[in-house]
Amino acid sequence: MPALTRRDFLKLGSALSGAAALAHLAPGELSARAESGAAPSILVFVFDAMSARNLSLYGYHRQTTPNFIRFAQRATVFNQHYSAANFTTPGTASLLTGLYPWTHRAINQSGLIARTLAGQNIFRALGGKYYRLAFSQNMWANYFFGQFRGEIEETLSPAAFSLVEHIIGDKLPGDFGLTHRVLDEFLLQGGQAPPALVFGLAERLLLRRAYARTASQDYERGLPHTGYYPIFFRLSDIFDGMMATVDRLVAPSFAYLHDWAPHAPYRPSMRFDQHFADGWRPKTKPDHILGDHSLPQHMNVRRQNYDEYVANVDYEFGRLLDFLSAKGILDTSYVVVTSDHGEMFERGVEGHSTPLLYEPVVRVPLLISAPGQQTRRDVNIPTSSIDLLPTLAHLAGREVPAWCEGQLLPGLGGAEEARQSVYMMDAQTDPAYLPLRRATVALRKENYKLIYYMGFEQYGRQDHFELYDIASDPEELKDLYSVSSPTAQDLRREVLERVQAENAKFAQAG
Amino acid sequence: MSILLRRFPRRAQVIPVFGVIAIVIYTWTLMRFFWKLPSWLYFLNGGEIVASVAYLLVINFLESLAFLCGPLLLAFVLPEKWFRDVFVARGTGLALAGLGCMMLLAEQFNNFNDYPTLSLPLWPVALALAGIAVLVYLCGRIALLRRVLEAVADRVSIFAYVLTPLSLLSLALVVVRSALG
Repeated sequence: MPALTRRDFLKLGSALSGAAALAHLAPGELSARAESGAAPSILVFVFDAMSARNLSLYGYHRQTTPNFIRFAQRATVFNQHYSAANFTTPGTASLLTGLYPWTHRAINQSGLIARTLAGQNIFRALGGKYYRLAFSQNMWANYFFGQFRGEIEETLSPAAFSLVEHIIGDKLPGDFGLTHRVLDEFLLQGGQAPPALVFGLAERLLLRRAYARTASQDYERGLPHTGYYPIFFRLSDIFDGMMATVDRLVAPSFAYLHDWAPHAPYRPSMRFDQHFADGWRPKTKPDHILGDHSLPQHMNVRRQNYDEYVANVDYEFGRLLDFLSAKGILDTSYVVVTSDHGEMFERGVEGHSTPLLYEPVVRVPLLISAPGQQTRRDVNIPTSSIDLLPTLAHLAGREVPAWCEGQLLPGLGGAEEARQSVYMMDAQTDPAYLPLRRATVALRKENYKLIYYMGFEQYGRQDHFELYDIASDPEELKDLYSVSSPTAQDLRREVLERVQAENAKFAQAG
Repeated sequence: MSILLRRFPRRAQVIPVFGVIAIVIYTWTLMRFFWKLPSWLYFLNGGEIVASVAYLLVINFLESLAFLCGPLLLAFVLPEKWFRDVFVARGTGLALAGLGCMMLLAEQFNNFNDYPTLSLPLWPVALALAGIAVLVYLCGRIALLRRVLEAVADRVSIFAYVLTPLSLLSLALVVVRSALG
């Protein structure tokens, strides 16, 4: 082998740095490989706790999402899209399995999908020809990745792209789900005295020191973090990380990228802090008997914080959109933007862990951009998060799995079936292996939405119903439920029969 | 080497102190585990619950060993009459006072709003350390206190014999689960 002279070395160095600079501008692997006729790649971006009601894309008063609107110009926009549930565990499980919570049974906080159904998931539905990658900043979604591990080629740590983190569960990959649950969720969880007296306390003191040493001048309210887990991040870093991840994927790939924001605590960067200090007050709605009785003025402040955080997410999403466009990925891949559940600041409830299934907590965004799509298309009939799995399987050229409870989304293989019934539910205080006893089930059909409360002490454990005409009363202020209303009775019969049928599957266990 | 080893207390002295440390550390964790357990029973199966307990026992065992290093180090460093010769009483006093202070400190992290930026002034920490030092000193000086602590440690030492094999069994389970994936 000839010796490398100094001149050769310098030539090689300049050639390599030039190549590196060009690589940044060059089309990504996803678009390059797609040109050779591979199946389209699919990128699913999930923004946790993003309510459709707070997005200007869907007509919200505040201009929270100019970049979502920009994306909508080349996407199918689902204007009546519902998550099957109201918090991460059941909401994400429904997204990933195409099943309603009463089937997949991940109904409790940090719960799991029924072991017998864990093989029924989006990663398996797309098949092994896809390189399948999963990332969720939300630990509860990571539990599902642990259940699906045979079908996922790469799972990123929930702490990936963060500034300060003390996640240790993924350092023991052999026992993925349980180590996260025991070590990260139980022993080291924030907001409580650490259950591990020596190591937990040491971790808390080290975290305190590491946090204090981290520059966070651009976040006046402190760095965003993932709730009770020791993961602190800059939103821009998370998006940069997701872009870098997408950039290295090779077609055909399927990436599920689940961002914590705009979930609480709402901590926008300085640029968006006080962005909506406009004095606007939404219409005050009556306190609900099942609500938390938060004061309207407090909820308004929280709503403003949330809107600012949504605007911050939208800004970063704009950068992501530019990146996808520049890399040619929008021309070759399906890009899906959605959420696992919404967020609520009304009727005495702030957040989403509530038995109330009003629109802000269950109506979520869904935008799907097909490869090369250049025009906007609107779908105005009710659709469900369980429809995403069969639709993506169909778009990937795979058969829609028979176990799927969802339907193909209109415009993407499905027809606009106006009579489709869409369900949402919350049963977080019921055991996963018994029939539903204390739960809320909502049925959205045509213009109407029936909400069924079962087993609540506040209603004397009697069934209670509310009915709203969403088309004429989108704020759900006028309860139309009456025993003499044929519409109310039809919907009541339908929801009771469905719940009875689902409960019958667990009758023996009960 | 033997001169160095002689500076450490005998095994018969170490085990009661380890028992005291272990009972406090394990109880602290298990109390919180039993509070959490009902919600886990809603969706975890028996095997997963057992494996979770195994992880907790292993962590608690390692914590107990780590804490035991404190009294052992003092016995090694300080003159024999000061600590090693009264290891059970002073070690027990140090364990109870030290872990008690740690519990008080741990409770300060209860507020989610402060997470993780808890304000921690230096003077209470200094006061606690001074208090522990005085208490440990008195444990060896006041005969009644010394006898009480030795009696307590002696009775609690049974837990060292129960928890250690249980924890080692748990360690084996954790290793097997990690290896099998």
